[in-house]
Amino acid sequence: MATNSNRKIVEKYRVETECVNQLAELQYALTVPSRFSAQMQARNVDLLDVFHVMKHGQVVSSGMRDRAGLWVVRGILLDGESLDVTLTFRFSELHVELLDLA
Amino acid sequence: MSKKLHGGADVNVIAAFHAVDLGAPFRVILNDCIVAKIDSETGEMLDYTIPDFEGLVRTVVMARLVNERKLNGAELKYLRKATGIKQVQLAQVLDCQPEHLSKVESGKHPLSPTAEKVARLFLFKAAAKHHKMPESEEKTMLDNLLDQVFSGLKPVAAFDAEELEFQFFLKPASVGAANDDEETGAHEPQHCAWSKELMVACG
Repeated sequence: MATNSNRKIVEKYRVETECVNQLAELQYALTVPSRFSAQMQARNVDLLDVFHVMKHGQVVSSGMRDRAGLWVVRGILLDGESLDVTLTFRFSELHVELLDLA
Repeated sequence: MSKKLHGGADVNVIAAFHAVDLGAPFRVILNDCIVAKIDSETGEMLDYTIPDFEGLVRTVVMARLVNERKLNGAELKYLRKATGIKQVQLAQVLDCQPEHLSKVESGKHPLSPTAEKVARLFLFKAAAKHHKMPESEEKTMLDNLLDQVFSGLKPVAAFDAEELEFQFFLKPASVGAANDDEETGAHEPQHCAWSKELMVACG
């Protein structure tokens, strides 16, 4: 049941996932709120993990925020941990902003 | 350089930004390229923007790999992670068990000089996206050159890798591209490339 649900989500956001995975290979600018430094250290993750999720993860939720795409990207890190990254995307400016980590 | 924003914040370009959030086991300093939003009242940094993040990660990896300081376990793990290589993949390349590589990365076992050379070359090629190059004479020449570079590299042992520091700058890829933007006033992303101007190894 859960697998079917996951498949549906993967299919629903297939285009968004493709966009994020492709963008991760481009010259995009990344904005990071300073408050995340402590949060990332506490969770033992860093910006490389965010990068990895963008490159290999899947979009599981999509919305808008200040005329930018607001997407939650879920990925499995190299050590097997799962990480959800909430990001806003302005594709025309090649700009990504980190909003949340879970 | 400072610019006022609505909502009580200033935008500044940071002269020397220590990129702690990159998680590197050595110091990464980004010069004159990080734009930070600063709270006007408290002076606290609200957020910061790294241009060409993907390029920065690859440049940091390559800078460390060509540095002669011997790689420690934490650095090897970091460089592997930055290039998106799984432990089992690197173990296969180094012809060892993943368990052994795990011990090397946690500092329990040293990395042999031969394995270090193989790891450096493999990770460098991964960072340089070598696999995306089409088979050609140029690629063969590049392979030979990289083999020579990493065969000739003599890693120097060090006890405190935290003292290793790399400084990076962002340079426009070409003058023509920068002028085009000025003339048109377009707010398109400027094509820039990371460059390592200075490398400091203290101690």
